[in-house]
Amino acid sequence: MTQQLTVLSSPEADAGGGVPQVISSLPVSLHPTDGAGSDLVAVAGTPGWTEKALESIEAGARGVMVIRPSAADVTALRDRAEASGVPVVLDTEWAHNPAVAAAAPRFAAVNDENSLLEARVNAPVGVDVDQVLLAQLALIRAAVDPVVSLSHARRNRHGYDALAHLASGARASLSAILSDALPSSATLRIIKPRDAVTLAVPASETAAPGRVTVSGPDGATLLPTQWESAHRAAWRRLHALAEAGEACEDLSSFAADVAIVTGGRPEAAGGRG
Amino acid sequence: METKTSSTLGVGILGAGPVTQAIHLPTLSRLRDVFHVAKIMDVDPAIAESVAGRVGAAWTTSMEDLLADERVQIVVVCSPHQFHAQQVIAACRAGKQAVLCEKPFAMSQAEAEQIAAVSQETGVPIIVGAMHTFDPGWLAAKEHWGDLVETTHTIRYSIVLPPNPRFEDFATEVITRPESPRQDRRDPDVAAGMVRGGIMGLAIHDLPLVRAFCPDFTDLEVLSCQVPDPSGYLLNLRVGERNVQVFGINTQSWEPEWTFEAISNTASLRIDFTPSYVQAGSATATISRGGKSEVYGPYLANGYESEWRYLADLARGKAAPVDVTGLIHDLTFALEIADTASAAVRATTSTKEASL
Repeated sequence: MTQQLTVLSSPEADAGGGVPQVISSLPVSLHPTDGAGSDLVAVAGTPGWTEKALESIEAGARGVMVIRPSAADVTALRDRAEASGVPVVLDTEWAHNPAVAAAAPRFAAVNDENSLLEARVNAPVGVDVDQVLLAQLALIRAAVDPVVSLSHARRNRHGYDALAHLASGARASLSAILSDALPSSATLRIIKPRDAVTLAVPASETAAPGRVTVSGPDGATLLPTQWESAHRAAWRRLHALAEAGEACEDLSSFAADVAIVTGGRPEAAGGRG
Repeated sequence: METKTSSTLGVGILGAGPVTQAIHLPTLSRLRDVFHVAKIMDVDPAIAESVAGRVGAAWTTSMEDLLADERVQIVVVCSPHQFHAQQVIAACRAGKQAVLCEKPFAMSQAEAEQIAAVSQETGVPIIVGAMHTFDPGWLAAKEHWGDLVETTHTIRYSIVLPPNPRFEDFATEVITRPESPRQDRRDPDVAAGMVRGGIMGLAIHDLPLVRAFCPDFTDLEVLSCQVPDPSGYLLNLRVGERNVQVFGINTQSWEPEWTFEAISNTASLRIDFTPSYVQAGSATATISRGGKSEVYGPYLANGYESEWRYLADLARGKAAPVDVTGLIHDLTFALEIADTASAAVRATTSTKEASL
């Protein structure tokens, strides 16, 4: 039987992660609380989030959800979380959309050293570009493979274009376009000579489904759509981990992606801005 | 058998390959009230005779013979790229009413300037067969995009191209096709050739559209260039203040995609074009701003048909000629991208991969 866990959130986390709406959609699993000693804690990913998450673990939280984490050194938090077996789940913009997990085995079938992954995100004007790139890297990691190297061809207030390699040896083209004319969304695509896999993911707060299309000589198949927001899927995951008393790899992956973002900046690589 | 009357314009075609067979003849068959095919020239007499026979036209293996034929009022240049400039110039000097040259209309700026000078001297109007610039979807977008040319900061132009025969075979029954052997993109010369050929043969279709959104088109920098497997190009460009990505990949897939996007902070334009060769109607243009989207098209006519109707109006003096300077700028823009990107790929291609 599902164990109901209490959730302590903050106005900042509520605003960024729609925490009350998620809790109301998981009434058997989650219950809001205002007091100390909550099972799960939601932390907004604004600067200083690692300290807040650390404090939550030290206060006895069984799990922590970080909403849209900004770049940060997570070493101390990761060590503490691992030592205490507390899962810290990072709720980035796209990675938890259920379509991502559905796409993963399809991408695995076309991910090799001759492949080219096209990755594009649309994000609103004025967002933190590093944060957008981190969310894109988390998406690519979840759907295809970790990015192991990256260099910017261009980065400015309108977005970026970057070239990258995946762990498989595949090349990748990463782009972000900042505009208020387009809804926040992300796409991934690998086109092989005869086959192609495409993933389109909407913003994290909507339950509109991500779409996975697999094309081959016999036609194109749209995988079954799952009408669940990325936020809700992230909370289901955290609940399952906390209930099982299992930690997770989110912080280690995030640390690797932060290193990629920092190393790939034009000023770090001596590239063009 | 084509109906030939003095009220329709006589067309002469130089080169009877797949473009003539699968694009121009089917398009002209939709415009029999305006045109008839008078003569077809090809260096291969069997092909010339066979293709001309489909439309009841005369045939020849000689360009001079076709140009000297008074029944030919409009000349279409569909020969290999390297002959375009010389044939366009010859058609102008022959005093024809108008010339349609398949893209690219020259292979160097010097050739393009020669053409412009001859066109001006002879008064013969020239258009380039960049069909998407005539596509009703594009033209509708142009009417409604407001200040997007001034405010665009990002341009995306992407083509996923299945083998041409998939579409040629729905347009006609092609009797000859050029060979296209598979090549190794990891060879620097091959990679450079793929990029140059890809830009001048495929990307060139819509580089005029890209240029329309790049007022500072001479301030051009190739930021990166890659060759996807099995062939194609992926370019990141800075054109003035614009961030431009140009992508094309040749696949064996059945699934085509041809899109153009121009995006500003507050508005975006996306155009989805129909495949080449087939008479599948116009592009569909979507303009989004302020939470609303306006959709234009698809219209029944495609860019090929519109381009031919414009050509008819030109020949009859009912339309203003295309500004040849604009055509030269389109060509210069494409050549600069092709030369810079292919040189970059040649210089940086290792045995492992083709990338800058």
